[in-house]
Amino acid sequence: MTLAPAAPQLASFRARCEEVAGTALDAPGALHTFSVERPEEFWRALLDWSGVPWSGSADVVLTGTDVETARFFPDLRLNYAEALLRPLDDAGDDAPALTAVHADRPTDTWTRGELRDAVARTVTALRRLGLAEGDRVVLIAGNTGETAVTALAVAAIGAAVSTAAPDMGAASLLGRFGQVEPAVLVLDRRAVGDDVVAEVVAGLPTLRRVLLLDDGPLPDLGVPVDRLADATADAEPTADWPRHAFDTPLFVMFSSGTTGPPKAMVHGAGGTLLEHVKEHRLHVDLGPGDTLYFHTTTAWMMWNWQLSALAVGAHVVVHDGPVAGPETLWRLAADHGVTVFGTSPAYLQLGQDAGLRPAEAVDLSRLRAVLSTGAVLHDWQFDWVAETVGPVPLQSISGGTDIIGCFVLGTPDLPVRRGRSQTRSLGLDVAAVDEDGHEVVGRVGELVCRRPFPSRPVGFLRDPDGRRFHDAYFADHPGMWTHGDLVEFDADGSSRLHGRSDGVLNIDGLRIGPSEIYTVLRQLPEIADAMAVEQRDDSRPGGSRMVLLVVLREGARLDGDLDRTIRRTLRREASAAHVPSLVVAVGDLPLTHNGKRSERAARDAVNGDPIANAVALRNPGCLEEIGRAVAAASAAPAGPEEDDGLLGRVSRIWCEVLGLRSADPDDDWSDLGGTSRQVLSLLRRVRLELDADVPVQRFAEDPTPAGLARAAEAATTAAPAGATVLRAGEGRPVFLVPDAWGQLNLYAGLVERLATPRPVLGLRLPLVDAGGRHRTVEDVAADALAQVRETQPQGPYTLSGYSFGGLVAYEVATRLRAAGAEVGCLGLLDARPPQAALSRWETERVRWAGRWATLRSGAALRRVLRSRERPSAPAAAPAAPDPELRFFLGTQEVSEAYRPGRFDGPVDYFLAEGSRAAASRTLGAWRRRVRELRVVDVPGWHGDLDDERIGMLSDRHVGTLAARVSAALDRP
Amino acid sequence: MAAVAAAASIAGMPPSARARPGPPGVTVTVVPLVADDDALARAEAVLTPGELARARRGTPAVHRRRVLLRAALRTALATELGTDPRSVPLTAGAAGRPELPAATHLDAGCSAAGDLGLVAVGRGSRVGVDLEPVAPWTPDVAEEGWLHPTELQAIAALPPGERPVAATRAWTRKEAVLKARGTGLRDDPATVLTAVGRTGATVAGWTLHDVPVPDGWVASLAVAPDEEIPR
Repeated sequence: MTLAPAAPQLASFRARCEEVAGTALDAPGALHTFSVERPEEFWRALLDWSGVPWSGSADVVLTGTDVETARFFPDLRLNYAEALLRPLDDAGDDAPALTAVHADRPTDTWTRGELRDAVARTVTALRRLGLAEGDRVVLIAGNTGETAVTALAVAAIGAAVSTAAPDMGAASLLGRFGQVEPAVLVLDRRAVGDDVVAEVVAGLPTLRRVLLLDDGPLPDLGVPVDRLADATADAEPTADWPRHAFDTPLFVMFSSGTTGPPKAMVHGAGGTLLEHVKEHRLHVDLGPGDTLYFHTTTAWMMWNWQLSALAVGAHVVVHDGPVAGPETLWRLAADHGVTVFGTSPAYLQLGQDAGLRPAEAVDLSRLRAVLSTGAVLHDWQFDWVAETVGPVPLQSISGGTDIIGCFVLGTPDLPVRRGRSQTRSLGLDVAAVDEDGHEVVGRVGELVCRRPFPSRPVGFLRDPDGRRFHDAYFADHPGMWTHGDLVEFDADGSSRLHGRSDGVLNIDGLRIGPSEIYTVLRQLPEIADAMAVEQRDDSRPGGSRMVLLVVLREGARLDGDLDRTIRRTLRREASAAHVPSLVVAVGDLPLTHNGKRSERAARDAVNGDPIANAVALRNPGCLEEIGRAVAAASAAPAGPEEDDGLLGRVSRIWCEVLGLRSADPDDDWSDLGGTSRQVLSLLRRVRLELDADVPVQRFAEDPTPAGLARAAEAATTAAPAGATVLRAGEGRPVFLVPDAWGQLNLYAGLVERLATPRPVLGLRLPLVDAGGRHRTVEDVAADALAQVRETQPQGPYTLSGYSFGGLVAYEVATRLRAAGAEVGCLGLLDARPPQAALSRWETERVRWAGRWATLRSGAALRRVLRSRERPSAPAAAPAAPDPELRFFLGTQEVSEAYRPGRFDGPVDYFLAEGSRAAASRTLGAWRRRVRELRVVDVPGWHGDLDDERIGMLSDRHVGTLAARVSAALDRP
Repeated sequence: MAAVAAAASIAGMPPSARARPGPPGVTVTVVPLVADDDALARAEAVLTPGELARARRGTPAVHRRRVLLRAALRTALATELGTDPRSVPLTAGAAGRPELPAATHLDAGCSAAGDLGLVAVGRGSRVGVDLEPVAPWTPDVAEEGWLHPTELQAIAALPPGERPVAATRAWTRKEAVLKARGTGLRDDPATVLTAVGRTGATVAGWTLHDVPVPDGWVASLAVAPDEEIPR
């Protein structure tokens, strides 16, 4: 279903222009050609056709042909707020005008009549508080209805308004608003911190008054403070909508420049209104019956743009809440019957990455167009919208704060070509030009506007002679507005943006000024010159990487050493963001005829694109070499060279896991974006390919390629097959036997805290056979014995194990003794004797205790099974469908079946406090078999891993355990 | 400036984050880590020089993620403390864990994966949170050693389509516990045995919660009362 009229408004306007032109304008591009070649007729026709109320004279449309100086409608007067709020034929006073959606309170709504009344009362209140034509107001608030009402009231008076999002810091706010020299500050403290308020007020000496949109207590700020609601409570709605000159300042906007403070640009009321009405009606086909939601903050020009949609009778939805996830805005669009939804490539990508299908998740039946701006919209995003949102046009629009509108956008009379903006903005003579200012079609050029347009800023603040304004837009190509974007137009008028033209790199969304790189590289005597360019990364759609072209001094060579020096220096002196993905030595850098460096030509060359400005270059021949050199370097084996030894091999794996081309030995894992999860993939690769088992804890201590190489070195040289070094040391090893899972991890805290200079080794023992059946304790112990013997041919031996591991350690010790070897120390960590070792009497007692405990606690069978001091019959296994119990049961079964033999020596038994009661019934089984059982009490429970009780090996108790085990090691 | 102090309970809400209902005493906020230059600059404005320096050490993507996540964490804590994000007395522990003075009775955790972040604030409880994109389940993953044999068996018993989420869930639970402890990978994840296929379980004293996040991600939260922190 669509609410748009069958014939778009563009058709009616085209007919109007055909009358004026006296010729048909239905050929492709004909209307745009008319609009730029006959600007007086076009803009006058638009003014009349749009019905925007005005007075004075519209006879003079344009005062000249120079885009820098020409003025539109010098004798015309209008009122922006009046134009937005006037009654319309198809949008009367009862028609919805504004809906404000909030994160934390109910939605507010205004009809057109209510909104006009609210603005009219606010006008009266602001006038009473002293606001007058020509004043400037700054507004720090979220995107709410009150913000819109206030801004419209300020505009109605003929004052200018500058809006900022509430989440800016005081420094950014003052960097902008200091230039505005505002008379009044309007604040919504629901969204601004009080200290920011105090700092901003203190930094704005021109303030006469502060007005609050919230109803919190009035602060003492050193200037008069009022609540706007109080001031409007008894205000009569004004009927006085004075009309002001076309260029009357309406909005002060800021452009985040790459150098110097933000540029404070002034947009006039007439130019803003005409441009917006034109874009809304002709390009978006917006009108009464439409509901527009464009996701924006008050700090972005799309806020101003969407506000103006009131002028065409559309219902505007604003939203001050968060985007909690990929579905948030689609749901908002569905909830409010949005017909035209505006968003960004990033938000669309969020949905795509999350596998969202918006049209299935929410009801988007009223939606008829999706607009996207803010960054380049990629081909695949068109496909995603078509597949998951529906057959609505996805219009990629692009322009900027500088023109408070769009250079390229959509149109209702043409199909959408994926990856492209549909058309040029009517009335704007937009083109791509080469370095000489000649138009290029079908290849990338500088985006310019060659003729005057009404929404050009009136000027900059704090720029009395217009020099900054001139330098910002008119210095590169005389007589043209040079926007600073790269664009490629097709013959059909469609276009695609290609990023910034000013040499600023945009790597993965972060803007990087190359000048900092060049400054740093001056320290390196080997480098004569350098140029950093952005290259499309074909392995990551939409991604890009930095290629650094270097010209070397005579005698210097770009070898591995110099490459690393360059990277290390940039990382140290600039930041990781300034480190290139690829460093390539070239003979020459492209220069234009007048000696300017051409980053653009170099970028085309590294991307393998046709060189857009070859004729403008003094040395175009160097580009071929650059292209070849970059291609060769890209094709070279990725990453570090194998002959770098272990570090090189570690670095290669490191790079492959992280998807990087190179790594510095001192690079930090997480600085490069490596996650904890990826660490495990990395260590698995190191284990398989370098045969080095690096414990994850060891890696965490020094998470760099160099650190990993050292850890791998230690692991490969120190560890005999099967036994792994848990902690290096001197002397006879302390062997730890794995637990019921074959794991050594649980000993980490113990290993760390053992007070001994001796090395601590862990045995690696398979617990199940090839068929998945659990091996007997005796079989496991046979493997363990072999590993112990291989590592340490002569006794005395020190062995320890927890629970099941204790049983294995006991069996190994028994066999060592039987073979005549000396066992210096055998430690059993809460290793309950197996059932097969118990006497009939002991077994009965254990059974009854277990049953009683089960009944008393009402706990499930699983609990009993896990509480190792209360054994239960393995026969219960079928009753436990939970697969995670199977391994337990398997180990349990072989444990209980183990029949320990006699051990002719002392045993240190570390009895967990929580096991004491059960042990009183079973320890006799050990005492009967060993020469001496020395029971050492330790705090904590036995501590099966998923038991919520705190185990003896847990962080909390392992210190005590370690101290007592250490003491046992020292015992003679 | 007494009136300013009186109004100090009004705190900033981030423009692009939403608190989700969590267990009592814990607020979990999902933070999209997507921002234009202006938004990034605004986020940087609330960070300390140390935090900025740390962010700057990272690659561009890491830089952006660290800035936005830290700013979101500060903003969430500012809401609790009734102050502004820059004034939150947030520091980093030895392993990088967020730390707050004991007097605040607050604890915080955060996690990021791709363009999505998660911020958890515990009142009177200690928290750990982890967010991961769902990764494919392959034999290689089984070999990585962070899954306990029990968990491996439990995952293998699931229908193939459910294994990637189950394995990712297990990882996030382990990480949540390790981060809550403050040890991170200095403790081996395999020692945190999680209950595959069950929710609301307890692991070594930490209560685990599944945090609702968009499809394609999995997130878990570990919580324990502050007075008795198991490690």
